[in-house]
Amino acid sequence: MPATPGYYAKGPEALIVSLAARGDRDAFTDLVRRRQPWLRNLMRRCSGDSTLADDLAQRVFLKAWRNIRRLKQPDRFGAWLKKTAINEWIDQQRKHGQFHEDEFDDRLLPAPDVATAEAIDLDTALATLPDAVRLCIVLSYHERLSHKEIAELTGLPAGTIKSHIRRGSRKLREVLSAYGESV
Amino acid sequence: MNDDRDPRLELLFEEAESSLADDAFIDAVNDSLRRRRRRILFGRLAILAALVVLEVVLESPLRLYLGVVADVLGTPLLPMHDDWLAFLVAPINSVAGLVGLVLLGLNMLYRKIIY
Repeated sequence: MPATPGYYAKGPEALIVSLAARGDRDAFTDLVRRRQPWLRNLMRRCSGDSTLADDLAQRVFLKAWRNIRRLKQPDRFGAWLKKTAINEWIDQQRKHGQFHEDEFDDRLLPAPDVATAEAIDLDTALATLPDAVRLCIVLSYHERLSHKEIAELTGLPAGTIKSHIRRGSRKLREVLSAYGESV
Repeated sequence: MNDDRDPRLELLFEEAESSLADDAFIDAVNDSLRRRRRRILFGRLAILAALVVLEVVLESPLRLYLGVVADVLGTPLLPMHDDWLAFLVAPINSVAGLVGLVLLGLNMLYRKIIY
């Protein structure tokens, strides 16, 4: 008999992950329900495109379903899903020859203009950063990861991460203040 | 390591966090899972059907090939003159053992890289 969504919603995540790993589709659906807002927001910050972000998030969940039985520590599901998501985004960028490590792109934004000042948002500002810099900024500010954790997740050297975050933060402040954000 | 964050940017990131409607997204994920399951099922059925057809058309080649594969896998890597010793070390002293070790190594490497 299939369990109701409420049945799973009350359970601890590690237990639901264990059930999903044994092939319980309803348990996996509950994991999707729990994790989708966080994952879609993460993908939005990374990609700057809500449609692409949802597509990536969907692919991440499909990969998770395919591989969840190999996850040995159910309580590490969140970290595992995050790693899968970051890899998926990097793969997507590389596939389209777009993973830029170190070039700030000022052309992505039009010149500051009062008419567009209110339209500028964080995602658009993030889009001006090179991919590696944006990734470090998103993992630091959105995921609140330490430099060490970012290094473990991305494989980038700690010094590079520190430099990316410093330069990226400065660039974000410049871009957002030019458009009238209170930064 | 200094992990200091700019508090103004932190605030911006917090404000940018939006609550997203979930039903349509969850339905889309479930649809994809169903499609994938169907694809796998059809794929397996197609392979099975192809094997049955080959078996019928080519007059039992599968049994022949399986026999050849079993012979190759059972071939000892080092010659053993003592039958009992040969029997005891057969799992590692054979092509099958070597193939198994290689597959195990690849699996461990894959798990180390992916997880």
